Amino acid sequence: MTAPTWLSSVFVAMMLGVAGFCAGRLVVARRTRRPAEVDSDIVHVLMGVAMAGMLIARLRFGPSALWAVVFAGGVAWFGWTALWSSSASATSGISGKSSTPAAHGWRCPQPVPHLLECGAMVYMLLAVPKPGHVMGMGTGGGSGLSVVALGFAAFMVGYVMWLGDRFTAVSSCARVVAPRCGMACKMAMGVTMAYLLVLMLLILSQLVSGFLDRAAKRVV
Amino acid sequence: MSESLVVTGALSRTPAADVRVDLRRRLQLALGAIWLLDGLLQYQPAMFGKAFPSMLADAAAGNPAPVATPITWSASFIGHHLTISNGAFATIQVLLGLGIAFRRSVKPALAASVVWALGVWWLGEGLGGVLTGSASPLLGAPGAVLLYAVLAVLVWPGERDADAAFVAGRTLGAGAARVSWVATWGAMAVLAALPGSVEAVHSGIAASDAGQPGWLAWLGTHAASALSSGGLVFAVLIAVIACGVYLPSASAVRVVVGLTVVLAGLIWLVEGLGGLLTGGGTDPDSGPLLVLLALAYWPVTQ
Repeated sequence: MTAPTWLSSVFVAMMLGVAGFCAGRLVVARRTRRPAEVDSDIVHVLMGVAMAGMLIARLRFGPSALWAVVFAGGVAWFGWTALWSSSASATSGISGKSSTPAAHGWRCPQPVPHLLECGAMVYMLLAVPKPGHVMGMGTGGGSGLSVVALGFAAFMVGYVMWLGDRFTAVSSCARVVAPRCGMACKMAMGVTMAYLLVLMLLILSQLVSGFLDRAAKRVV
Repeated sequence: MSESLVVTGALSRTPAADVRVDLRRRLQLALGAIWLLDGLLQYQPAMFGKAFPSMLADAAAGNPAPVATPITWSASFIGHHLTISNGAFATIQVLLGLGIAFRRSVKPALAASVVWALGVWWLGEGLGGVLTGSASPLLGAPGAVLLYAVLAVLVWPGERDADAAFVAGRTLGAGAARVSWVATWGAMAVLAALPGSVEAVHSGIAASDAGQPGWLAWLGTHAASALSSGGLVFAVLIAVIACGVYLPSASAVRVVVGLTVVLAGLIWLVEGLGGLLTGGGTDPDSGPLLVLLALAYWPVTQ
């Protein structure tokens, strides 16, 4: 099961473009002292590079486990930010002062989507075991993983639609560098991640059927 | 739609500014999300293989010659230009989804989606099998993709009757919207009552179980048995739903719409979630579309 090369190349070009844009935006924001979503831009640089490697093997470097640890760090960071954000919102509602992470000017004000993006990356990096490990995978585990992949894909598609809906409302109100390009990059990231998760459905299905075939042969 | 775009907090730093999203816009976005998902599913490697045109050609089976001949021709054409055809189909569906997401392009995207959906309904689904005598709502009849077109019309950003109690009524006018509901569900009731319907469900379930997770196949089989064992009862249930939008009180209509959502969920289980978990599905099938269709009739005002 392989995707057509031209299709993978299009997605890779998008991902490397997103990574380059986010890296450039960090530099410009620092030089011009404008607010930036430093945490989400950094994680998108890493995701762009990692997903390019998932799409085309030649671009892959570093062990999957290392990438998984990196994105697990992202899960922890955005999870903590989301918790802090919700508790700070409740506090500011009482005191009238804004102390949410967004007010600090360098953290993403919507950490939950990035939390799930990082979670999806960890999942994709760890869910497909090496051939030797497939033997230990039961049907229930495989189908459970498929449901998780479908859930992540559905979230990504919904997130892309949510961003698109807000696209026209951005330019006049945002002070961050290139806000519309930033949103377009997030949409491209969401579409590509959803595509990879859809590919995961087939991979997991094949893993489960392969396991069942081997199990049936043993019984026979 | 741009008139409903309200930015809260003009000095907001965040790119993803908060905007007001009413139920109609939510339904538009959900429809767009399904188009986008369809496009991504169409990009699956398996769709670039010979199985895809073969699947399209199967839609001709049982249809009369004027319907079947163009299906066979288009499947053959696609088979000869597989990579470019499938790539174009997938890209069109992705663009339809993204077009609906952006408020400025929602009208052209919805209009294009109607044209595309009707084309696919004929050439890709063989008119949902309604002319074959063996189509069942439990297998997606009258065709999942036809529901995309119906929904695009129902959530069109127009205001024929701004005081209508439900989304579809705002667009078409309450009377026309109710007629549309009766036509859709009435057609499904007729299809469910056809003698070949029950038999088609059992053979269809057996075929769709292949590759499904065990729990889903079990749920689908039992839901199919429950719904199709008394074929006429199922048809009557759908007929009741068809008439339900004419009930006088909003509470009663909400009960009918709620029942419709539950039934749509069961139908989706029978459909095996459109085969999404097998890695070979091209769309989520009719279940989610029926839920959206029902929500377009949810009374939002008394």
